[in-house]
Amino acid sequence: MNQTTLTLLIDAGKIAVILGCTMGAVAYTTFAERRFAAFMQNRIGPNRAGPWGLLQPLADGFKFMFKEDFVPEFADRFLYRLAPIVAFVPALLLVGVLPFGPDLVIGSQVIPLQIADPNFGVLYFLAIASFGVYGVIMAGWGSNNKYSIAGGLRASAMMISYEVSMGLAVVGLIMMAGTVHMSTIVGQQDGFFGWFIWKQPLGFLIFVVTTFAETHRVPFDLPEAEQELVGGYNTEYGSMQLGLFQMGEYAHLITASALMVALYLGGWQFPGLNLLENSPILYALAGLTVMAVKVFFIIFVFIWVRWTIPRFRYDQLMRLGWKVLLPLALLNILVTALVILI
Amino acid sequence: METALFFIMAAIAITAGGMVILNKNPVKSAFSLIVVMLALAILYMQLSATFLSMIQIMVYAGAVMVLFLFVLFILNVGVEGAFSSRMYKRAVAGLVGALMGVVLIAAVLMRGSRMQQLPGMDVAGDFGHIKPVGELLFTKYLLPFELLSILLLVAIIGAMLTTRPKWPKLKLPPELWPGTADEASTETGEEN
Amino acid sequence: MFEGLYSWSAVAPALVVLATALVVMMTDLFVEPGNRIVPWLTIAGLFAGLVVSISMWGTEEVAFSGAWKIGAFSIYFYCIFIVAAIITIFFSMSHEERRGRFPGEYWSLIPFSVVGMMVMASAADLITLIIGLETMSLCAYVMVGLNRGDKRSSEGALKYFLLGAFASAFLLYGTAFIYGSVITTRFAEITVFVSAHSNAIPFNLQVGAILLLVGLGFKVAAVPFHMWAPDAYQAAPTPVTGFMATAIKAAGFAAIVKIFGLMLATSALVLQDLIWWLALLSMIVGNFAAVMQMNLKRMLAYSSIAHVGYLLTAIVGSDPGVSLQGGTGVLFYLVSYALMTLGAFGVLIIIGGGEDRRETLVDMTGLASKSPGLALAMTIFMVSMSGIPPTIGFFGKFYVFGAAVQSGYTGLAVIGILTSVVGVFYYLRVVVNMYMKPAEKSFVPWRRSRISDITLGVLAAAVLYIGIFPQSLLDLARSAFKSLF
Repeated sequence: MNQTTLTLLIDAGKIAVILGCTMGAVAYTTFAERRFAAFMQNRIGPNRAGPWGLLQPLADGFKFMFKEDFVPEFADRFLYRLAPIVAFVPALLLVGVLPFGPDLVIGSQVIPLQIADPNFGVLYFLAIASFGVYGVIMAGWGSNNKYSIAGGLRASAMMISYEVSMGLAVVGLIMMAGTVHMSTIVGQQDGFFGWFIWKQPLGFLIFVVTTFAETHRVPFDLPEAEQELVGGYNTEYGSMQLGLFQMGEYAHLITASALMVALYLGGWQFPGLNLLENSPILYALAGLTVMAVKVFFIIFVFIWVRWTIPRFRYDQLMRLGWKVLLPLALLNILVTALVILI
Repeated sequence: METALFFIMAAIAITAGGMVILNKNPVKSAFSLIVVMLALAILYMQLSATFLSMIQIMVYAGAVMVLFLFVLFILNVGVEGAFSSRMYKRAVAGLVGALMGVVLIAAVLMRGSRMQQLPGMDVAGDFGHIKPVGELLFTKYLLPFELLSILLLVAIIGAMLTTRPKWPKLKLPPELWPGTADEASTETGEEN
Repeated sequence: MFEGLYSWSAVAPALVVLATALVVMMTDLFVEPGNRIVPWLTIAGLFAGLVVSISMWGTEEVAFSGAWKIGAFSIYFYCIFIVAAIITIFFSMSHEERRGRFPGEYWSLIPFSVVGMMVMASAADLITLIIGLETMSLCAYVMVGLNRGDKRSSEGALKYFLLGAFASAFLLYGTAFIYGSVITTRFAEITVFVSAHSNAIPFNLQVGAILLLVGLGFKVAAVPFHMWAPDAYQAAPTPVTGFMATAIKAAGFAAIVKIFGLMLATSALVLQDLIWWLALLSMIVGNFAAVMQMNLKRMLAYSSIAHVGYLLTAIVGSDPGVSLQGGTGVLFYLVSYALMTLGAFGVLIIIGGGEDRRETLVDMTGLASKSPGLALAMTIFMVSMSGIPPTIGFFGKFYVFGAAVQSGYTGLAVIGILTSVVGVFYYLRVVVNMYMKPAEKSFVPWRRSRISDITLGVLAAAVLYIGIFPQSLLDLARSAFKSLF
């Protein structure tokens, strides 16, 4: 077996494993969300399927699969069918540039724990993440339902308002790191106080807030807002189509959390971890674990916020985006530039 | 493989481009335009203009088209209203378009070998990455780059001015009212 | 590499005007609407820009790694733009007293558009030129649409905007073609390329040049790209119309002179024949359509199209290597055209009270008996526009057609003179209406405005003075054109 074939096989394997893990994580994030919600509301939550209810995601999946698959009469069939796919695929594409751990060295073979490390890593993330909104817009238009269209409208307005601040917040980090390679950015965050959260606190704050909007989580879940819009863009959806939307949202949540960890919280780095550097396999595994724990912690924060904070009103959302976050993000760039200059 | 990818993306871009103008529903045209932008982004990447490619997706496919759709949703442009039924107008437009197409194809074909001999065609190793692009923007193209900020400022002022519902009236003292009384009344009416 | 990267002195005049625009914009926030300090501040800033520009006469500098060239040519145009802008503001102030207030942003849009024009006049790079042109055009679109609530006005503004955007697309497309064949957007490098390949101009360069011509033709309203002009001219508030007809047109011709009079001025391009046709059609269509117009703003719009035709006759086949007369003629003509057109629109502003009702030929009847001074001024402007000595308009036409004859386009010059005769008919018709017909309807009185009276007087005096002593302006124009190469 020559080197090219081997690399190809390894890459294919990495893609399969990472996608599989993401899907599994999606399934169990939904479960975690329900259990935590129950815990915060002093309920029990799903606990019947399997031990501690661990098989609940499977049950949910089967339920989605076997429900009737339908298209409303006045819907635009093509857009209606396409929308869930467009919502789901970009969320999965995002994992492509995430570094999950240090290089895994097996014999002479060096395997970076990252599917690809292009020279536009962070930009790729911003570009593809902004694309997910089209699923919502298509669903809103294709359903031909006024609640859906209102949801689609809200999603597009929100995306425009928050994408700008998010990009500008990351610009501060890029200036400091001097690169957009994801692996280099993670590599630079050596030691606890090397994490970019300490160098870019304001940028981190803006990034967190905009990530909430980007993933349509409470307090920015206006596109679906059950109480006002009866579910918003997904009002007309059922069965696996709805399932795809929800999986897309959770996948986006996971990748966005992972990005946040990679950019600001040191990625797979942790103080003391480099003691293991002599045994590469152990080192890689420890890095993976650290990454997973950090991501899970961020997801937990997302869930926590969802069940404690009420939803913003639409005009408040716009005001926050344009009048607070955008100037703050610009200020962040200015201050960063000054610091670099001095 | 690269050539195959080029032709696939080119075919997608052309097909979607055709759908942009042939679709009777403006929303669907906008969606087709997104596909065109994506295909173009991939073509840019093949030309090793990776930064441009990402910006194409982020700004055009991501933000500009979302705004397009937003406006289309709000205006709710109907299928009928968007099209002129006059055949001759379409014929003229088609003719002009075909002419432009012929010129473009001719330009590509006539390019011949001359283009490759021109200087500045060598692509450096990091061509199209963020750093060289930024360096060019702040050296060779510094002036246009800075002037763009004036252009954008003017665009903002203009947009605000044209969309503002109405501006406060000037209260003229009576002796300054132009013309006769009825004219003065029409004048104040005009502002509303 | 960083040599000559930036230079404050090269952009000083433009910076002063830009600062004016910003200061005026901010001041408008803090003063009561309609406060006269805002226009006066604009005038002060523009005047400072004028002083800085004039003080730089004679210097020559290429900066921003070849994207910017300031020299006598740029400063000549700076003066045209700034003077036209100041006069426009004077007229706008008197217009305000008649037609209601302009929004505060209006006063900053004028200096902003002047910045765009200045960029066009001193750009030595296609991209810079297009950005300047867009800055100017955006201001113009907004200013044309200021007559809010009037459907006809909105239509004109929208037409102008859509066709203008279309023209910009042509310009960008042409720039792309030129870049594709020359791999540069710098004028100097393109000039070198063109003269080196003058026996085999690449097809792409030909296409690019034609597209540029179409785009700029739209911007200056040359037939057959003139459709927007009458509607937009009529739609805009009259001071804005005057500004469009003079400063914006001058900026367009600054670009045309640089691109077609110099950079691409080689007979190897198909372009020269096209410019010939543009000139011919503009003169014929402009003059004959103007005869039909009863509305004076529309009439002046068509007459401005005709003047574009006259200007283009000087560009056709002008080879600066052989003779300077073509470019000099254009520069001279632009000043003469600016003076008399601003004057004519100034008169229209003064008599046009209330709604835009008093702007037709009929409204001019009997003006001489009501207001002899105004009628005299209008007569001077009309006589000058028709090209009768001893006015500046005569010399303008003389130099322009002379240049055409010298470069061997006698036929075009003859057609130009013949169509000018048609022009005499409709210009003098205004004069006849003012002097020889009794007022048909009771004349509604208007409030005298000292500012615009003085401005009109100065303009009329300038038209006559330069009409008698044209030499000094001609020398200025020649040295300005010479500084280009």
